[in-house]
Amino acid sequence: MGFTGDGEELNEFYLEARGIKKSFGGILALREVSLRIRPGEAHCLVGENGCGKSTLIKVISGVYAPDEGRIVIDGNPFKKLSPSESMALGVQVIYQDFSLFGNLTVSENIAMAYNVSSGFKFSNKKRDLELARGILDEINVQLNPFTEVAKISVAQRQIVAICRALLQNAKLVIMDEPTTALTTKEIDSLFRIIDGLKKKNVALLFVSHKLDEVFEVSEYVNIMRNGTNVMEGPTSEFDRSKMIYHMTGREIAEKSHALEIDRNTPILRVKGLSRKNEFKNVSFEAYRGEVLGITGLLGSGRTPLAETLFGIVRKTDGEMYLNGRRLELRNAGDAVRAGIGYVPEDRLTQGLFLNVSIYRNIAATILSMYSNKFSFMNKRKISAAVRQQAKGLAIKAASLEAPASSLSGGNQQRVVLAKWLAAQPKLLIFNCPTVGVDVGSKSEIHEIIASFARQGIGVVVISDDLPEILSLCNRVLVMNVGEITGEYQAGDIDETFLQGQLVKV
Amino acid sequence: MNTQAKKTWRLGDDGVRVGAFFVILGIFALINPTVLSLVNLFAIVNNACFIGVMTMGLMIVMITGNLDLSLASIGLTSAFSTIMLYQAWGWEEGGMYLMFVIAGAAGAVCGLINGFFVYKLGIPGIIVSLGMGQVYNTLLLILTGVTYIPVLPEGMRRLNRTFILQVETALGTAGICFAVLIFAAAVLLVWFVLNKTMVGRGIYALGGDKVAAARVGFNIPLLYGTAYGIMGMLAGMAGMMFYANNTLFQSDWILVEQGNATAAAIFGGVIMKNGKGTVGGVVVGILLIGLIQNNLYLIGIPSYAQKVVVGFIILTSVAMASFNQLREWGKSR
Repeated sequence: MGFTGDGEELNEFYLEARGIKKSFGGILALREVSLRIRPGEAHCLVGENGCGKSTLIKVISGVYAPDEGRIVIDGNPFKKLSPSESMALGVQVIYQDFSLFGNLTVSENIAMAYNVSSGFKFSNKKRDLELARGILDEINVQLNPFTEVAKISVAQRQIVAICRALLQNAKLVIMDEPTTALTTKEIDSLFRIIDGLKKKNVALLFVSHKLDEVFEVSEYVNIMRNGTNVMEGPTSEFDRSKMIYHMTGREIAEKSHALEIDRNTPILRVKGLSRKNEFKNVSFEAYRGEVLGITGLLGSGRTPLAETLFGIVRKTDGEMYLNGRRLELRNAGDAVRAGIGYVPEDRLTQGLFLNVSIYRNIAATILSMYSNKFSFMNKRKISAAVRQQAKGLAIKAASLEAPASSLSGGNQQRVVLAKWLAAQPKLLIFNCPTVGVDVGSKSEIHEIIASFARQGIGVVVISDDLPEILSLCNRVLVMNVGEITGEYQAGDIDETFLQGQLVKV
Repeated sequence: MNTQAKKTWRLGDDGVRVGAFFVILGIFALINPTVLSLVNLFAIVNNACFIGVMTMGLMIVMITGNLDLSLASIGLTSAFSTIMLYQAWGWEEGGMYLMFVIAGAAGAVCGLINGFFVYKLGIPGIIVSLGMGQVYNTLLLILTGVTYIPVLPEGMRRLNRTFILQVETALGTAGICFAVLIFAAAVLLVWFVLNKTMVGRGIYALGGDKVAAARVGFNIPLLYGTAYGIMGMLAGMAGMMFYANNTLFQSDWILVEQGNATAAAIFGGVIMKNGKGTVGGVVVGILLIGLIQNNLYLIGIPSYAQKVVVGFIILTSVAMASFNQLREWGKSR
């Protein structure tokens, strides 16, 4: 599909959103947004969290009615759409959670929405199977249609969701952060499927903040900030820094955080640490002033290692020393008392009490520190410590009494950080610290993590985000099938090399 | 390319259940061979009918992700109102079939009330049923002041004397009761609705992911209405069966049976949390409960120990399901 640039003719676009405005309770979510998508085009909508991307998608898919503006689909203008009208016109949204049924088979999941919208009264397993096989063949994917969806991988679930959308005669497939949970290899195969869809003249709208993927997959980029479009054009006209500039409205250097490293005093020394069936004979040191990275594929043992270091699961063999003192962790409480903090992978379920106030979330780890021997708490000291952390990390919240769930992803991450910092830890372990965080917050979080190391706290970052590992860490350990297979200075290697080390058998 | 993809046959959970049933039956038979006599086997089936009809109703609601603890209470109130109706109209002789229609309709109304609270107010089914169960237990009794009816109308009492099959054996006459037809009809109805209709697939979808079911376009109130309507209807018919078999009405006798129905469904493999369970599995669960209910005394265990055994079955089944779940999580890590 070529670009004519001006887009004067109406029929050139499958979908047009013109001057969309939408506010919620007086707060303007969309100020004036327009969007034009050609058939067979991969269109990328980028912007930081809270810029209005999700609201715009919900307007297009008919979940919200816009206050002003028009949506034109296939030349037909609409003031507003209902979800079923939007689907009937060929707009299909693939939600981040995929909206699949784990208790049903692949074929039934694929056929379900089609069956419902066709108004069938009776279910027919043979018909489901034929539909599923047909659509799987069409996009050239092998997947056992009899398997229960709960038993397939995240990448395969995404394929099921795509198939379900295609079966409903999708002309525009909207994908919200489609690659967040995928490995590099899975992302490649997703992109192959996407290329196939483009050839069939299906338009795609991606919502993403992973810039590498934006460049790889899309022909056209639309950048949003504060509820309006700030820039759009063919992807080839953008480079990374230009895109970040428009997304954030400021220059963010994606720089490496080099630090003074004290090689004489290891904060953490691990010798021959093993856990049955997960990892074996892991030995390393983390030094003062250094950010130590540990990377590996899913299943390499990186997460069990992190959980063992924090005492969530118990080691089966080996020794651990913190500032020269031997540790025998029986549980996470032991680790906290010894001065270890853990910021888990899935901050939403593991690191935060979502329904509880920001204040209480930050206070959770320090209650015992500011309590006397009868377990009565000193509320004044706790309050002072909490407020100091919230200020130090620049958490943007209306009030510290608001529930943690009211914060955006980046700010939630900061609350988790504040929680651990308040406990004045000697060692902090981060497990994939920036999963699902936008570029602006990501660089801020990296800066915060680096500042911990500068303050003399030992920092171990476990991540599969290779650019993150390379820019954030000084030294990188590679884990492969439960063992440490390599150690590199981050300055000496590049992403391609590291990627190769990850998959080496 | 996908033609290579074959259905993977594993020793599924339902296979394990059938195995467990036969192992237990075998152990019983070793201790007392009478267990395997035709008279006894027919008696197990006859006695399993009532709990079976109730469990089929419970199952369909559990698939939506809601436990209901008011089935016995619905059975009580439906049977009671049917009996009162018969007495008020002076029907002594007839109406063995009609009583199921009336009790079923009364039960369906109760079920729909539960379903309304669950759907409209978003209260978890277990809480709704705890509250409504108390109402169904006592409301009619308060209104009428009757808790005990010494003799049921003759037409009702005919139920346990009406046989569809009788065989003469050395140990006496072995017979299959008319109630078996009701049980079979209940199994067939729930199986057909759950597996052959889009509403039934929607009920599974609802148990799998409520939000996703709405996004796919299912009519959510219809799904709840169907599940709860069928549950209430079957609970009402089961209640009628229970009191007709006992030939008199003592109001709270039925309430202990709720636990047996729950045990049968759970042993049968129904998992509320993610909308799982098959009709075949539940039928095995029902037969197992029937076996234990009827035959413990035949192997020398006092029948009042029955509750301990039933409790043990519930715990073992749930523990096994959790264990399987943990194993699956372990794999995906």
